Amino acid sequence: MNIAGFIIRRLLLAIFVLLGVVTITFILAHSIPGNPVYAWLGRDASAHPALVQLYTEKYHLNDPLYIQYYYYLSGLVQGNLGYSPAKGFIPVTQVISETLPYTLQIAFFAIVISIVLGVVLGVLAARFHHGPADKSIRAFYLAGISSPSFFIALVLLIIFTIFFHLLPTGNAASLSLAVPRAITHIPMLDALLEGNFTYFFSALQHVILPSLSLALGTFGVVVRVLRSSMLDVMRSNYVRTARAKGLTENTVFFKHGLRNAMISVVTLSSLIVTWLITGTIFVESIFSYPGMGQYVYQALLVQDYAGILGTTIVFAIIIILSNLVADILYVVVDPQIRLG
Amino acid sequence: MLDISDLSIVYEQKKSTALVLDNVDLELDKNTFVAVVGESGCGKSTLALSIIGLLAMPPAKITNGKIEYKSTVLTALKPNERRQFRGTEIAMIFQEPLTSLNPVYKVGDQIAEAIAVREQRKGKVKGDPQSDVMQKTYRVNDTEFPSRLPRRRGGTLGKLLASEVLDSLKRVRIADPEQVVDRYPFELSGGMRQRVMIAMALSQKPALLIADEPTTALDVTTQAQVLKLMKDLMDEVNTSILLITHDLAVASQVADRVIVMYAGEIVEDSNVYDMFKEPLHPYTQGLLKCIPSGSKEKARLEPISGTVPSLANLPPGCKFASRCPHVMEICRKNRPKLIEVKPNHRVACYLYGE
Amino acid sequence: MLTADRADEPEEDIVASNPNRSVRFKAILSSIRSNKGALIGFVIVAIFIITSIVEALGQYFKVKVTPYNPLQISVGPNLAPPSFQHLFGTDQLGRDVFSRILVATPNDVGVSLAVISFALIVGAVVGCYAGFHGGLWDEALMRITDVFFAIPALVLAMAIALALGPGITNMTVALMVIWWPPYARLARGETLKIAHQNYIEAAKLSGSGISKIIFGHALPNIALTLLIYASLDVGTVILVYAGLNFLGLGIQPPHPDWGEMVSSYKDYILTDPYLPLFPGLIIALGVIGFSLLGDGLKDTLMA
Repeated sequence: MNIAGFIIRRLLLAIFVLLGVVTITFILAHSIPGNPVYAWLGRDASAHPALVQLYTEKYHLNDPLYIQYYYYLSGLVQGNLGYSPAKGFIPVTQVISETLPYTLQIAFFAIVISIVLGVVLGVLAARFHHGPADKSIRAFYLAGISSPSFFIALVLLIIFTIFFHLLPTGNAASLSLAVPRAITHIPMLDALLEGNFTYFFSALQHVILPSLSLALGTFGVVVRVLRSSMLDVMRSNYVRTARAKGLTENTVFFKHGLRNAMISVVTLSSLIVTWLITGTIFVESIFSYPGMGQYVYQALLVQDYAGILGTTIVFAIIIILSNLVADILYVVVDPQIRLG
Repeated sequence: MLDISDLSIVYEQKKSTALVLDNVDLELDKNTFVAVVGESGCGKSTLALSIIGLLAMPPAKITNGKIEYKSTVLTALKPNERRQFRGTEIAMIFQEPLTSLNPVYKVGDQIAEAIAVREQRKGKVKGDPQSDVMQKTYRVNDTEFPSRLPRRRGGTLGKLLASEVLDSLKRVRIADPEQVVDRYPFELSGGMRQRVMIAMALSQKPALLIADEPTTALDVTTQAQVLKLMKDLMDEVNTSILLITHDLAVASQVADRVIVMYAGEIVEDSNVYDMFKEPLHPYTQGLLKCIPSGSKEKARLEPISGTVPSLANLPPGCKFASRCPHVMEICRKNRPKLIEVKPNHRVACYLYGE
Repeated sequence: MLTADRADEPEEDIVASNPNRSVRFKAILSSIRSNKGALIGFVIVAIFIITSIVEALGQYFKVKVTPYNPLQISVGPNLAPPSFQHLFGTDQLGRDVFSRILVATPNDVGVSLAVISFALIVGAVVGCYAGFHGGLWDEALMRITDVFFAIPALVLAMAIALALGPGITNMTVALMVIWWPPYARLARGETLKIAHQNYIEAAKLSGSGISKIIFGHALPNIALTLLIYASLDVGTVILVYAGLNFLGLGIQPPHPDWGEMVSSYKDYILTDPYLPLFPGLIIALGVIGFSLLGDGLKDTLMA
């Protein structure tokens, strides 16, 4: 099997999975008893009879289910996710395109922090396993993965903002600063490209606490897996061979041990992305960060069904994409998959 | 060259302590092929690992004796000093060639890494590249080779390594070394992998190569090829080989000298001809009866009755007494010492000597 | 190879050669005692379960088993800090926070255990069946689980709970619907591992039907792996359940729940930071307890 074949197969699977996700959201959207329009439009439905009429026609709600499914799919393909009552009935697609970049910012920093923290502590725990360092690391990550992300967010909020006044909260950057011109549509990246460092550093200060809250909940997974696979690898025959060559323990540990143990960390990426995405719903609403997670929370409060299902699809796309990236990473780190 | 005297090693477990090596006394000369034979659990692998210094301690613990190599007491060294002997002085290859090579690096890079260790150590000993590794200057200046594998192309060291890697593969009779250097271990057959392991070990020019059951995982034809290769290479590269095997037939094919171990002890030690023509110890005699010979009159194999005593709970006398057809009164009380009953033929049994 | 008369032997023999059939609970208990982490986990889990039982019985028989009525306002001053009268303080309506946490325990523990049990049973049967049957069933199961894995559990549960309407029953149903796929996948993998072992072949040769093989031979053998996974998974359900409550999809006010309490108390974080912290800590403690116990069980049973 070659690489191209492998990737194409994963791509086809990804498309199939996406179709499945969309079907689930369709079933959910149509499983609401009574006229689903009332549920989609939330609590304000009765105030807007014209909208109810519009929706019923637009989604062909009086037609048989398979026709509705067809229109639902063709609407999705055109990027039509419905209108969001939580945001004054603007298209959900527009809300998502405005909020998603902020969530990506948080997710990026959260992934970096949790991988760096996870790998460093995992390596330390494996190197000094059963020692006091190993035990304190275990206590630390266990507390992290056992705490709900909203709890971690609140604790960080209390420590850094309320007690020590160290970091600002609310919004993605200081409100007095203009958002940089949209080049990539990701504000921090745009700020860097524009050379607008004032905005970048303000945004950095605002992004630290939310992403740290998420990372503290997920790095433990990396530590746990890396530590145990590291211990397995260090007992392996090829590590014994490396020692027999006369290499120093550090070379053996990092070059022969860690390189192989990292393969198992790649497996985790999908799990980590899933956790992070779930966490943004809580963390963004606690820090009033204008991302998609906060939008989900606002949508829930008014039972904005279009918003919830639209974001569900976006969440699924992110996870499917991250699985694809993990597959490609696998090909890079494991020659056996590349060539086997 | 290598002198092991009265070496005793125990494995300490929670509830019991097993004596896996019991007063092992052994001298190895330059450029000889020695086979250590014994059934599994007799301590032969522990012996091998203790010589190269890869025995996990704990649970293992040296309770007595020492290992001396070229007048350096290895067992007294610190781990980092001990490491300097691994590879370039004492090298080792293992039973499973499938798992003994790192799966994520190319074969050529793994050999280059071994050569780099050797080159680097040679460079550290100023003036005389062949001088004793234990010179002070060598240890003081010890720093590790860069953790990145040297690129095989580009740079003087790289070019030097590249040609040497190819030579080392040619030496183990690999027909297309240019192809093999760029392969990952999983792309090679078991026999090829073991050849690569041998090439890698010999590329460091060790004075002693320990081979722990190197052919057990291979099929019979490949096994014979690899054994013959080792025998041929021993003279070519001027090294001693210590072959660990459970198979007396394998030992008889290649070894100059055979050492038989039983329950952590050397019971007999002689050159290969004497051992097969006139085995002295009843255990060796029993082992030889277990080898199918092919001729009709000896078609019946005779297994040795009984079982090996538990190493955690050894009887006071000879460890073989309970299974020995010639057992005497004294055997159950005292333990026989390994004595030289004939020139270069040692045996631990009360049937011989005074 | 098995001969005909070997297969005709009474079934007890096959069962007797079947590993892991009986788990020795005494051995497990004694090794939990020697594992410090597992012991702590065991104690925490025991406290949570006993509290739930006591509270559930108390609610059922209308006996007061909390220091104060958890729903009654102004049992103390509003927003009082922790004291001996009010262990975790009082909230903005003067309700006793400790009583509210206690009374929410049976919901959290009960829902988690119910969801896990449901997932375990459904997943094991479906996965086992797919593993043995192979073909279309197997393919269908794998693709369905692929789809489920692509949506975060909390988001899907959220969407389902919203479609069904908020409330603890609907939320439990939503969690059950989404929780079984990983178990089915695990059960399928384990089934494939044992499908060709001798005692299964022997059962097939002796003419047992597929359901008999699944329930009589396969499930008892894969049960251990699934149970270990489940014990490590309880904590995850507690976290997701707490999250859904935080989002207001679970139990409705004035009835308290841990996640709901953190959510409604977080507005007082500037003046009374301890208020949302206590229910949050309790959630973390519960999850830690179950993970430690699960880790301990894994170490013991896998060894």
